[in-house]
Amino acid sequence: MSLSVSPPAEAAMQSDRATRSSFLPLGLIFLLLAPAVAQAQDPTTRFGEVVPRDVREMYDRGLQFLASTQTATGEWSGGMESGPGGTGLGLMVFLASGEDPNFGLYSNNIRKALRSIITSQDPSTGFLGQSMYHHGFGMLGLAEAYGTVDDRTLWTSGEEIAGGRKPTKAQQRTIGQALELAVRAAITSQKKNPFGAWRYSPDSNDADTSVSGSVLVGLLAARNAGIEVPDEVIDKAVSYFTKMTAGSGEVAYSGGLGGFGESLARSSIATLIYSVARRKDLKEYKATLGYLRDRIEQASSSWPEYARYYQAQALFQGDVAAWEKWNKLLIRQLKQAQLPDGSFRGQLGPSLSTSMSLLALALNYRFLPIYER
Amino acid sequence: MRGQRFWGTMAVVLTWLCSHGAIPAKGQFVVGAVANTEETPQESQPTSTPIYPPPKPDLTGPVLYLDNDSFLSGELKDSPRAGIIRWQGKAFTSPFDFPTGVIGNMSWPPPVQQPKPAGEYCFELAGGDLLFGALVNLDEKEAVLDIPRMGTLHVQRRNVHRILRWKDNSNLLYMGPNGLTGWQEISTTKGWREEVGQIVSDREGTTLFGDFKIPARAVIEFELSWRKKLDFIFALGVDESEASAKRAFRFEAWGGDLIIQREMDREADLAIIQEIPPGPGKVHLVAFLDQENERISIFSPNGKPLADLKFPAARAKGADNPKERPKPLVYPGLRLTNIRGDLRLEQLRIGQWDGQPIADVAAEKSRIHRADGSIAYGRVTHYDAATKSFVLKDEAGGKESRESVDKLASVFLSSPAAGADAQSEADRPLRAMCHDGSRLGGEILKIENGQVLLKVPGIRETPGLPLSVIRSIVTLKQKTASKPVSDSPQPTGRLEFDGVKLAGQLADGREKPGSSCLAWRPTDVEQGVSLRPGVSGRIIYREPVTATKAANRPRPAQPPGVVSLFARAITAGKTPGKAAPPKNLMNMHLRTGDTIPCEVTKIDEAGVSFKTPLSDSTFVPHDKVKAVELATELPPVARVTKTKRDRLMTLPRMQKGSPPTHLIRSREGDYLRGRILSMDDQTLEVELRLEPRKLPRNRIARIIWLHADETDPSRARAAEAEEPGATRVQIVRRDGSRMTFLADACSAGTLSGKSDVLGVVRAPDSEVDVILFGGAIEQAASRLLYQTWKLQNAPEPKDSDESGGDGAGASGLESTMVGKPAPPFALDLLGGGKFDLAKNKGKVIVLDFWATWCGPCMQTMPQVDRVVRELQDQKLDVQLIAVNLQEPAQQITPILERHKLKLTVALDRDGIVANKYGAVAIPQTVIVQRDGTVARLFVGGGPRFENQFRETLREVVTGEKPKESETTKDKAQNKDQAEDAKAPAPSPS
Repeated sequence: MSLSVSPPAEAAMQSDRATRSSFLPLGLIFLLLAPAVAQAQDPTTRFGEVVPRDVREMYDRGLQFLASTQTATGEWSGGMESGPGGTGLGLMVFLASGEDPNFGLYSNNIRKALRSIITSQDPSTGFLGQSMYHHGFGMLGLAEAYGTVDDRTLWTSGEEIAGGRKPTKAQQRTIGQALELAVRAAITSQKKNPFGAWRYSPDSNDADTSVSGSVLVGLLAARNAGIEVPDEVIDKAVSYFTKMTAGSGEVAYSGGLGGFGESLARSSIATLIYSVARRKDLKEYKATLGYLRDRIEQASSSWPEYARYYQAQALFQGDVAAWEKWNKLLIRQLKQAQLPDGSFRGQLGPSLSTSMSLLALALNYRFLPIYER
Repeated sequence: MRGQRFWGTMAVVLTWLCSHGAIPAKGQFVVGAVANTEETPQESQPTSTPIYPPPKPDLTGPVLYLDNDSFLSGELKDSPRAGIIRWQGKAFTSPFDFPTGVIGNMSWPPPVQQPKPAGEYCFELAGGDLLFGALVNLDEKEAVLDIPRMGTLHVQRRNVHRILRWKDNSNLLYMGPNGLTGWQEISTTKGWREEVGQIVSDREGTTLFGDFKIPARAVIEFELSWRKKLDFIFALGVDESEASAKRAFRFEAWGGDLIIQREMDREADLAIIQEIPPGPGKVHLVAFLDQENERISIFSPNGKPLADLKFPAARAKGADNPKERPKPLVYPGLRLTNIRGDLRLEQLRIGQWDGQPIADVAAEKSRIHRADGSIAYGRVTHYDAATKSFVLKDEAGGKESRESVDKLASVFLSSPAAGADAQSEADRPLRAMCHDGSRLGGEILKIENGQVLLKVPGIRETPGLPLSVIRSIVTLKQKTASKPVSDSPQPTGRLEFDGVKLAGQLADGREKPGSSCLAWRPTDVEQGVSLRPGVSGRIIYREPVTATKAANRPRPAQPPGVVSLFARAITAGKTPGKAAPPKNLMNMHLRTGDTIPCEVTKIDEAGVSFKTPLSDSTFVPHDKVKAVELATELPPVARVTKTKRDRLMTLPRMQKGSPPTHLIRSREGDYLRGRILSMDDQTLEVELRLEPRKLPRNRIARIIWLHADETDPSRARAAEAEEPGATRVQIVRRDGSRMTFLADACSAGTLSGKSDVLGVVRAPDSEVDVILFGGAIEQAASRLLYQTWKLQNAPEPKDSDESGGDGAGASGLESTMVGKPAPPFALDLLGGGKFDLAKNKGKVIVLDFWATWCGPCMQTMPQVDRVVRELQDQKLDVQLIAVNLQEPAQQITPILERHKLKLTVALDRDGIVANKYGAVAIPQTVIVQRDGTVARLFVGGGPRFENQFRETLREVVTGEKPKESETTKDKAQNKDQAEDAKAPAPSPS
């Protein structure tokens, strides 16, 4: 290990060691707790019923599209969607398929995506890619892979990374190291932010609920995976969301900067973070969930793939019966929308639209840890 | 029972809904229905509109009119023999051979530039023929003419009536009529139309006006004809006003006389021109009109004076005091009114007249009129080309004199003997009229290389007229009673589509590449011709009865005759064997408009299963079905008003992502919207607001399918490509029932083919009212009752149409204040001083309305400031005034300091200025240009604001349109914002 690493990175490395040593006990606690939670539920909710054939066929076609369009260095190219965020979402689609992540059909796609995310990380700050959106979704991807993908098979033959280079030894972080580093970057950004939340730039003075949602879900997933995330960090971010939540269940976009009004995506984000943060006690949670329940037939007027991605998780976390109804409609709509090549076309470009649409369907499988209720 | 309770609850909910006109509260899964109201028929449509709009000829191209009211747009082809006109019809695979006897006329559209007749002479020949050209020779036997495009023609001397010195029409002002060109119909009743270039009206009280630039002295020659009765006014020298028409010289029919008359305030005069015999007739007159001297003289074409009206009669009295009468006005137009008769203007020529007195003539005598008005009588023996003069022998037959053509007006060679016209008409079955006014009557020998070769009585050659010069060919002689071409029992119908209306019969045909199995044989034509594939149209055998009666209104029970009739029509491979049809036979309606009497046995994910005595087929997929009827309704049958129905068919915005796919009507008349999952003989399973419910089948009267593409046409599948090897036809029967199938052959009037629902089909034309083919099927189906049940999207709110409502894309020109003077104001400035807008004329002023509490203002203001400073740095005269809304100075200063802004802030303490500028939403940025008017007004900021504002302000200040390079530079400067857009997820706002 190089001695010239900058202090934050060094700290990350040290904490990585610490995490590794503390991981097993934490994981154990988690495993011990999990059955207790699950027992309180209808087992079909936890494990699901037989996945409808329509979903399987759609998902498989979508997977093939993503697998065939992933570049040799692990990303999905094409304009606004390229970067660790899009790669993180693509990675999750493979992880959520249920195929063995280490030896299965898509194990190479998974490793490529992980290498791409990790090598895009700024070694000194831990920041993933172009914006905090990328950081949030990239972090989520890492968190979902952490503990399921074997690090020992990640850096074997020195494959190429973006730009046609070979990764340096320092870049060859484990998933845990990268995730830990990313968590620290998110915390640092939050500390500098007067709202206690996030916006596009890690150094922003303002915040919005869309970027903050992506970062906070990433943090929550990391915490669930056993990375230490201080309670204070979560509480501060949750409190930002409660302040942005109206009694009607509508969630504002960015304080004082307009963008009030109906948004299925933002009410879903809020419902999801309250749930995963174990704050279903909040009246704001009840408000946002109620808002979503009343609108299960309503289509989002803008960014529908983005809205569905969150709506699926929020309804599943909040009200399984409502999710079941909504899911029926989702399957019907996506069946009509999927193109013969397996992709979905939307405002976000083909790969991101495909990833988000498939992840909305992935609740039928429930393989990702973040879907745990 | 659950279902029973369900319908009961529904009725209550719905009654409430209707009486309150409310949108259903959440959780209620029915959107609108009405129970038991006594309203107009629920499925009605206007009965007054014609079911099939009559086709019109395509007047932009050649049209053939038959004398049985048929027409056929297309083109005249070379025709090898006399008596046959070979005409290629639009959308037919090959031309028809029409016997000339059945042709009414053929007409071609006029060229853009109306050609004027050219030549030294105009030759008036026998039978109304008219040619323009040069005179080569004239002797006792014949005249030799040189006619452009026809060459040399030898005309028998007795057929040459008059030779007019033409001199390339230097005196001619107008020659026509050229259809309705130059005329306008000024009466409220419209009825004038053109036929072969002539203008015709048989509508009462229809008036045309034309401004033909008639000079003060003019000669107007016209031919008018009528079929039944002459009852008209033809006023010469008028303008558009009614008053001018009243005071003009007017030809009218009074009693049995044609008269010329004029009426002034105190005076009136009239002269009888000639008697009008009853029945059809024609007049041909030449009028010499002198508007300044208020005189008109009427002559026959060969110069016989008929009437003379001088006005006022007592001119001498007025002469004593010329001021008593104002100088008569000269009006340039003509006005033609059909009062209660019928009228056709066949010819109209308007020329200059030098005012020379018209000498009295002996009309029947051969003579020469000189240009000076004098007349030389005598027999014209010949034309001497060497001296360019006509040689005249006096009546005694001795003395010879010469008349030079230079001084010549016209040469009268012979006058047509009485009855000669009738004689000549017999030899002239047709007349060809050319765009330049020349015309020839005769018989068509053949058409060859695009030339019509005519045999004209009295002309040795067979002149050939190129199609390009012909305006029309009209049949003069009515056809001799023709024997029916066939005595087949096949009914006669009418083939109709755009540009085509042809009476006739279906001919035998077989589907072939490039040729449909539909072939048509017009009446009196021996050979049928196939239509091209893909044509849309109809064949009408019997006029359909009113739409309502004919349409597929649900019948309470199947009339016994229908099934048998249908079965006979269809003969579906085998006869409907199993004795009597099931008793509970109801109708299924397909989207094509087809009606299938059947019993619905099952509905599932794939479609509808049914049993019908018509066929062995038992299944039809959902996308073809429009409605099924399951049971009769219970009396009293509920009706739905239009308002209620509109509400029922409105799709709320919330449901746009998940529209209902079916409308279910209970036997009591309640409606329910939802998605049908399945149905068997007991239960209908339906999903209502994503929740499955079960209803007993015996309570349902009918189900209407609501297809997504009906609401959103963009989802309509591309029209199904015509099946190769078949023509899609729909037969419509007297009872309104319809059947669509792919026809591949027609034999002895029976179309045969295959229906994708019912299998093999044979349809004899004797059992059919109408045959529709191609796109006409969908057009007709869209008018049927069930097909009009379509969901309508509730209107979207206006602001969601724009991308986010954040000022993105706004051009700053939307406000009504733009272009108007900026409201004047004077305000105190922060830190002292005053700003008075009025004192800043000549300068571009930017007003930015803001407040510290307004986040978007705080975002936009630095951008506005930056842009203004950029321009100021370029020494451009522009100033920013940040107008603060109702805040104290101590609140403003710290904020500006925090944002490091140095601005000229005007204090609008009471908000009056903001009010004047309509600043109800801020930020609002106003650009006031140098003349003190508002150039642009932007409301709101947004990511694209700065660029747009920069370009706009620069344009206002410099008067230059933004250059490409600047735009690019601007883009580079705003890279930060572009970065935002690169984020993987959007900023949902």
